[in-house]
Amino acid sequence: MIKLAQDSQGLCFQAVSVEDAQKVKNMTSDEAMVYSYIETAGREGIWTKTIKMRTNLHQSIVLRCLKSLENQRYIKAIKSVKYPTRKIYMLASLQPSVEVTGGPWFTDSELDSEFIENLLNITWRYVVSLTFPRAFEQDNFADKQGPQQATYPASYKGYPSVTQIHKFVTDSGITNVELGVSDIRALCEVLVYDDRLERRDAGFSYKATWQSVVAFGGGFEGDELDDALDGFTESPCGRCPVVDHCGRDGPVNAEECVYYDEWLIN
Amino acid sequence: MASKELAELCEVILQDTYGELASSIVAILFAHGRLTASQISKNTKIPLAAVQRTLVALIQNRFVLYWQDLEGSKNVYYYANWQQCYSILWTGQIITTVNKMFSENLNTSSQASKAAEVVKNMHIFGHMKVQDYLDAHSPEDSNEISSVMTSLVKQKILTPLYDFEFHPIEDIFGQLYQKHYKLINADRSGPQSEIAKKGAATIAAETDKSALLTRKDEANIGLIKVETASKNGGANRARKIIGSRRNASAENESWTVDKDIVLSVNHEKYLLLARNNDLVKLASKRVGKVTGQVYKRLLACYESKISRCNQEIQPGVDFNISTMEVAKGIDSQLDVQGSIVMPSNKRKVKQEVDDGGRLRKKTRLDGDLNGGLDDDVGDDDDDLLDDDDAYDDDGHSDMNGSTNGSGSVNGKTSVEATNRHLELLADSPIRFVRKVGNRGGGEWFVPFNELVQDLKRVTYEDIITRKYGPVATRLLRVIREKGKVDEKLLSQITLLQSKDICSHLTDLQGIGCLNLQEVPKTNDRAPGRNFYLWFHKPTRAYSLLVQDLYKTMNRLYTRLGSERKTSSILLAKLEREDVKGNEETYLSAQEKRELAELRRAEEKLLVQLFRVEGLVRIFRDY
Ligand code: SF4
Repeated sequence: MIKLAQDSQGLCFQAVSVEDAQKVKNMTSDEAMVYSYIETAGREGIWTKTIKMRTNLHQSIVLRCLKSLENQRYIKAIKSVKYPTRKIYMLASLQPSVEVTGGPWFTDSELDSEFIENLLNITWRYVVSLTFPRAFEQDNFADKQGPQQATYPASYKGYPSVTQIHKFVTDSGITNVELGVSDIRALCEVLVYDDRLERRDAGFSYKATWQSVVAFGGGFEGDELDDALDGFTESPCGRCPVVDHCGRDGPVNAEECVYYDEWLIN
Repeated sequence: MASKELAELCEVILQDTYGELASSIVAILFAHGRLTASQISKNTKIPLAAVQRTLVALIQNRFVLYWQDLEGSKNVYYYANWQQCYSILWTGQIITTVNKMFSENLNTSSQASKAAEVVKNMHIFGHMKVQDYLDAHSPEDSNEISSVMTSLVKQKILTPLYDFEFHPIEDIFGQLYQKHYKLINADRSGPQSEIAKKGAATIAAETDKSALLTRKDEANIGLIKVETASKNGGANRARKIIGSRRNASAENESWTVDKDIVLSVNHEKYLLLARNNDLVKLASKRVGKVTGQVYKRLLACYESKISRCNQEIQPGVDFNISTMEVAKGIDSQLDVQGSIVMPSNKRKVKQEVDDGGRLRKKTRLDGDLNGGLDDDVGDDDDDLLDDDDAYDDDGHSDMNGSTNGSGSVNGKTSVEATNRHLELLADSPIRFVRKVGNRGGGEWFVPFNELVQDLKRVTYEDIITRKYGPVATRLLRVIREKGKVDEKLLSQITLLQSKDICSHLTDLQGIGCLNLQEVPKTNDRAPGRNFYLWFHKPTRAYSLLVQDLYKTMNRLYTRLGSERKTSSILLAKLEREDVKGNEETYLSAQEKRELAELRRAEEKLLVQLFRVEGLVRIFRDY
């Protein structure tokens, strides 16, 4: 009914709840040993191999214990982001720690690209709204004459800070996953690397880039969607799978090249 | 030395424009470095006489340079000059540019076409003596041509050609070095040790060489004062006045082209103009169209100040441009004023609440801005009228009521409005411009060298994005910023799964964009225990890309040739005297269709070729 525990003053005893005691009482001694290791591992979980090593039990016995404990719903198997191939167990009643789950970006220990992509877009949209007046208004100008450009002056100070963006994302109720300010910063940084945001004041706040607005169909008349390929990538050779074998007297050459035949027809 | 890809491209170009013979001679020179005429003949199996005839033409256009070994064998060696061969591609664009320049500057259309014609002929003949060219035309024409030439020389589109430009610069340097070395060696009081002598000779030779080269950059090179010209029949070169740069541009009339000099097309100038164009495009894309136009004016101010793309310039009186100068040239139709939207106070107030003291401290708007804005608390976001009112405080009261905020005040664009655009440019992470002073409403400096690096970077990223998608570029940007990165960190920063990253990394490695470094953790260098660090080396990445671009251009050009060859019978028919001009009657429907098809293919290939060429320029010449 009591177990050894450790606090700042040294070893001591801790009372164990009747339920827990009951659980352990019904186990075999092997099971109880395995259970105790899993319990001490807490929210980090413990690898089956470690259990085997610590308990000095035979592999098959450990496996049998784990199975029976799992069947009684005392423990559960979890996946760790760090060691995706390891079989890791923890008490059924606990939530895995951030190290194990990988933080908000992970769903079932897989990076949730779709979730991230959505958040990136939302964040970006928000920053755009504070960076450019009338960025996505071009439809309103369809028949009227729109402005050629509308930009805030360089002295403009309304670019959102990370805390502000964080507040916006949490307030908007887009997700119920808990996001910290540092998570939001990580998102903004990805947007910077996508050339959709720029850092201001050494990363204190962020500003959207104009070309990203245009690339997403914003901007004004004449800010044509610049998705035309550059001369290189549009040329057959720029995308050619056999470019290394191509030459004047090579097995493939420009004069007879089928990629050109195709390209010239289109 | 030209790379294999470049050499092949030059051959293809020459073959198209100057024929098989010229092309094969240049090809052999590319392959072997330098050769004498008889060696060329032996290697190409072309009779010596034909080789010599062709060489004359090639030298005239400087596709081939030569050098006589005066010391030993007295042999004359020939070298292929890829710069000149490559520049054939620019011919069309240069002619168009000149035409446009002359038509825009209120010249008569006859002048514009004359100018284009002069430049075209310069391209055909390589170079020409002014007098000879004038003599070939009627006296009435020659007057106009001479004035056209004067302005072409003034704008440095044409430039005098000197003897030394027919020789490889390395040989010239070698000769200078030998000369100085001998002098130094003979001088007993000079440096004693061999190393010191060589050092001194190198320095002296370098100085001489750059003196030769900079001669071309002088402001009024190739021009003479009119009085002098009339008095001495244009022969008095000694009185050419150099250095009064300001005067020259002010008194346009008093200078005329020196009829005794030999002129040729100045490709440096073309590259400068092309670079400005590309930079304006970049500014329009990154900041906005109106700002781009303002930037265009700023860059135009540099046109007379720099003579080549790689010229090193520093901020200072010579290279600073005042806002006034920029504002002067801006098209009055341009909405300079209205394109900048003043933030409404509502938003600003919210801002201050949100961020507390920090932002309050940073809310440093120019005095006039604040003055105007503080009054309209609670305005609607887009109320341009009120913004204009704000400007009225600055003394531009003529702006009243212009809802579209036309940026023109009595035809002049206001300095403040121009400044705002320049500030936007200065504010961009791309180093478009730097503010260096406050005189003349603000002084600005364009750090071309750094800016060109940014242009290359952005262009490169664009190509990568188009070719491999945005994820690849995201990775590239992270790697460039962080230096050397391993995959785990990459995955953390980019929020991408390692398995998605890997294929992109290998793609990028394949084209030389990324390199991989292995750092062993343990002594046994077991591959499993190594760190694998990715890094990006721009110079290498760019130069490999340029090779690919050459290759692409080569293929495009070759294909053009083969398309023409397929239709050679038809093309020959078009050349017939009786058919020329009467195509309608002489061509069958089938032939017409074939011709249309050919023209379409030709155009498509050429357009593509020039687009690729534009990329080469960015990475190689700017
Ligand atoms: S010519 Fe054809 S085969 Fe050769 S590189 Fe280009 S696309 Fe590829």
